[in-house]
Amino acid sequence: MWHLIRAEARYHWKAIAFLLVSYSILTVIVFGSAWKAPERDISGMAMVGFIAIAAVAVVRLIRQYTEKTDRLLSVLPVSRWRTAIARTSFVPVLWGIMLLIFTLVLLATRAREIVPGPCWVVVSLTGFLVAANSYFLIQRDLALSVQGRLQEGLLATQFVFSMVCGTLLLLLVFGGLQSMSPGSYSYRLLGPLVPLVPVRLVDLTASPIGALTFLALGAALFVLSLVTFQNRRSYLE
Amino acid sequence: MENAFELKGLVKRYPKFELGPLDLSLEPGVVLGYIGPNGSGKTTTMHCITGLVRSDKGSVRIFGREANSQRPAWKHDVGYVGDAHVFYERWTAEGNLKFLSQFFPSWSDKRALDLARRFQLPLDRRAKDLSSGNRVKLSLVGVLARSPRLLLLDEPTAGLDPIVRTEVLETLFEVLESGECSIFYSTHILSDISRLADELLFLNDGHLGLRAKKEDLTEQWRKISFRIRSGSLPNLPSVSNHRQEGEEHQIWSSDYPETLEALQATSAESIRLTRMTIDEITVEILKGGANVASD
Repeated sequence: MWHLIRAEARYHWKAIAFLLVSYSILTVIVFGSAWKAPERDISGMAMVGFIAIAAVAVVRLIRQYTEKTDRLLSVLPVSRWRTAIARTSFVPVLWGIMLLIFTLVLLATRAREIVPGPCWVVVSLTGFLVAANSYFLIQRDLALSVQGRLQEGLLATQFVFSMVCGTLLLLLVFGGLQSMSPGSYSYRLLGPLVPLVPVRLVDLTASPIGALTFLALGAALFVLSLVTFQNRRSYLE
Repeated sequence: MENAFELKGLVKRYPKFELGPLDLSLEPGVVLGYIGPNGSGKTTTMHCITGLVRSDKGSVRIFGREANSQRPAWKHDVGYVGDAHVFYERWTAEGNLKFLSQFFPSWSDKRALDLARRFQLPLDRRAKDLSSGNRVKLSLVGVLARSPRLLLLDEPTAGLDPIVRTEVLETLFEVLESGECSIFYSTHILSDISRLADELLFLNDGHLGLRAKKEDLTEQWRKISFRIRSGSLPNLPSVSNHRQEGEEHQIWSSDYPETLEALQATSAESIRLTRMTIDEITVEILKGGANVASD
């Protein structure tokens, strides 16, 4: 399984290296010198990392689809479970590394002194990222599980289009949830129109219950993606 | 000794096509040519054996082990080269081989390099920049470098121009002729396999037909030319094809002693027998469809 994750990391090493280095630099700058609004900066930096990882994940999924990586991996002497875990874990592992950088920089700068308790937004983002990544894999598995769909040819463009649209939608939803905090511009703009929703939404991403809900959703979809991979009717793509 | 593979009641259904049920086995060390027209189910059979496609019914065993996706040890014994050659496209040929080598304890770097040299494969070139011929070669090196006991070749030269195809096949056959592995080679171009195959198996519209040793086919089949001065051609056994020009007749027989015996009992004159090449025989079998193939 680690062979597969390592291979994926090696395959995308340029994008990963660029991502991690630039993120580290940005985090140091923000947490080290431009520290003004702790809550905003922490959730903002987490969001920047999230978007960057999501971009890498989308590129990777498109590449996997067009290069028929599943087909290549399916003839290797690796069990389906391990292959499934490896393919679904890659993005969370990358996110984990990013969070590690995030945390180390946070602890190494003066920002640590004014951290307002646990960063529930970051936990929410983690759950959301795992859920979104798993969702796309499940969607692909289901398409390949439908009898006859493969024969007629599942169009690559169709998949890529749906994935890009889906990702944008998910980012918008999460970004929307994030920016609906009382006092923010969007809250001032939209709050009066939907008086009850914004408060609940803010609670959802930044509260322990919301964070755990996202985490549970991510875990559930992660497990489901393992199951759907096992039950594909075809690994030809 | 365990069979290289064994299929029992294998069925794969698609909306407009059904393969099987297939009951088929391959003995160790045998090269079996799997012959059938396009769309007859050759590739689907290969996909079911390798686990790339899940069959609807039946079982697959490789050297006695069930081809189970959760216990993949059997995959160490199987090398598969299909018509699609899948790689990490932005890695070099060498990078792709290095990746594969991690998964197979039997992998030999020396053999991989020897093969690459023999195939004149540019190892430093990215997979995406390789020509179709070189992609086939890379697939073959990736499989042969680990010396699998069972080699599944599914029209590996499909789509190649005749020169590259011949070059790839020549090298492949040189490599394989000295080996001990069982080979299941699917093709609809018989010349690709006739040199290497011990036996031929015909598939038509998802159903297995005739399976015979190559020598048996060339021994049994003949073109028979003769003249009949009056009357029409009598009803003769084992005839797959008939041509007539005036009094001259030519028939293709799948069991020439039987046909000859029946012919000699008629008024036929100037009977001449001509041996048929394995290519001609195959064409006749395929043209004859299920009738001849299931004899």
